[in-house]
Amino acid sequence: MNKILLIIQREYLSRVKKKSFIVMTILGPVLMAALALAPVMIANYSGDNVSKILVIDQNPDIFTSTLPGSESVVFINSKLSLDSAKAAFDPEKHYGILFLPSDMMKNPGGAMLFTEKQANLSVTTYIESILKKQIENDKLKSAGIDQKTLSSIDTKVDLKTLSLKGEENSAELATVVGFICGFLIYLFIFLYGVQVMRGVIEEKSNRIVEIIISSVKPFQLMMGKIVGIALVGLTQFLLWIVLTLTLTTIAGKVLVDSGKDATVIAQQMGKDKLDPKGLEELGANSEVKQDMISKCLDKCQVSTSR
Amino acid sequence: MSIPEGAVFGLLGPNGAGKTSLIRIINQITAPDSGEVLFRNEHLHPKHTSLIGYLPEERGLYKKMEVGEQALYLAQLKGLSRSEALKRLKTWFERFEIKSWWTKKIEELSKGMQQKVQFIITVVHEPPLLILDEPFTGFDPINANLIKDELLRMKGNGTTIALSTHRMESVEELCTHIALINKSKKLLEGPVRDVRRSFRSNLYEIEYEGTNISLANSLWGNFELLSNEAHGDWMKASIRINDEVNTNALLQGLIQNVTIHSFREVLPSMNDIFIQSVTQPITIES
Repeated sequence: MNKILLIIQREYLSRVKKKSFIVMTILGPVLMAALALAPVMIANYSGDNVSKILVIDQNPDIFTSTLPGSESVVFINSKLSLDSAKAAFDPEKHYGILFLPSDMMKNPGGAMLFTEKQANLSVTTYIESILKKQIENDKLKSAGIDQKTLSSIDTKVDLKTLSLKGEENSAELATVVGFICGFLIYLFIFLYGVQVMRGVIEEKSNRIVEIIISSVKPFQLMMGKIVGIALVGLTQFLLWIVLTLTLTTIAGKVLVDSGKDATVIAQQMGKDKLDPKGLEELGANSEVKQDMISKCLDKCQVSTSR
Repeated sequence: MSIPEGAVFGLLGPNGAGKTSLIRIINQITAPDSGEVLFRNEHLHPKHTSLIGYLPEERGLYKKMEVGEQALYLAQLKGLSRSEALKRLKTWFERFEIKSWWTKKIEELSKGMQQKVQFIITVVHEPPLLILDEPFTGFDPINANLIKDELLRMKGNGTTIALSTHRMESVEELCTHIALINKSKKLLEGPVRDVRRSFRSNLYEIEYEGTNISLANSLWGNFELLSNEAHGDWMKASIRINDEVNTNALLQGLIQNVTIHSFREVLPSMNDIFIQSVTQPITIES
């Protein structure tokens, strides 16, 4: 047992003292934070570029009004024919040309988007969803169902899950946590399993294994190696948790203090909307909380009016 | 084969004879297909590892680890306490004049320097049995002598030393007993002097003053004169005598006719015995 402890100690200390361990321990949370923030930042960045799209509608009876735009997509109706619009197309002014054929209602697949470069996925997805909504509304109208009736039918059910003691719990959260933990276990077994293998290879190539095996049983050597490296992994994991929490708290505070859009934090937390509980998790004080809620509400109103 | 306690035992054999395999079995690195190993009349057991010091032929240490830290670790694996290991290592490092290497990494040392560290690690726990596989490989003559002197000192302290080597001069210089193996079979075993005697061919070398005729007259007919050459003022003759000839009687006859300066039996060198045994296998056991 004493020999196993000695081997564990050596395996642990020799790895923890390495520069690569210290660098990875510090960089790990930064990389994780970057991974979490990158999509939000990219979304914000691309949001600045508004894609203006010329719409050539051959069936003005249905698409009478301009299609509703968004923050990043704006539709402009054009009276030109497709060929002349193509000829007069200026990539500096417009992102693309959306052609809606006359049999759009019967053949929704006939819609075409012409762009100079490869079309952006977010733009095409938005156009598809808008057209789908428009056609569905028109079909409902022709079937005698108006928007108000449809809205009154639309029902959302949120099932509240409680433990027998009355404590609130969330099945979704448990699934997400379980998935994340499962992924981390897989990652850690993979990463540190490779380290065990590299350790064995190192001893074989250094030829020191012959000296060690003449002093301890192979089982003791292997056990010491596995436990020692597992402890290294746990240490790194623990440090990552501590550093990530610290970084997230600091980043959260910096973002809130600088009055940035509260939705960024909400998106980072993986939620569609801000709720006071979520803000409490971020450690925001009541004043900041009120400020963020009002900002969020303003934003919602702007979107609705659009 | 058996290794007498306190002996310096040479395990000899050509490449591929099985010397390293046997050493690995004694060190419990590999298990034998058949046969058994007894250590002080006990079946070999993991507890015996702390009683054996092993210097493998293929030397190796953790390259990124500091010399002192590594020596401490390996000494503790051999059963020494940290404080005892530290005390003994300091003594050894002072004796080898390598105290300044303590905080250096192994990869910063030359091969010969690494070998010195490895030798210390092998002997630091003062094992009663020391097994050295090609101990002088990689050492310059000065360091080889240093190691040789240390081995002789340990022999004087009662350590049993088993070494495998191809250097026959080391065998003659150090070994008290040998075993010669080839293709995993034992060809010879016993004290070096007995082994050499078993290969005697009644060859004698005489240095004398006198004439060839007076030498021949004193030898009668029971000899074969192999060479007889002048060496300055003296003559040097090699003769092979018959088994039944008594050397004392021979000397008495010689003294009457020539002036004897030296008379000695020429025993075969270990090199000759090695070559002869391996190329013409025999089954002599002293």
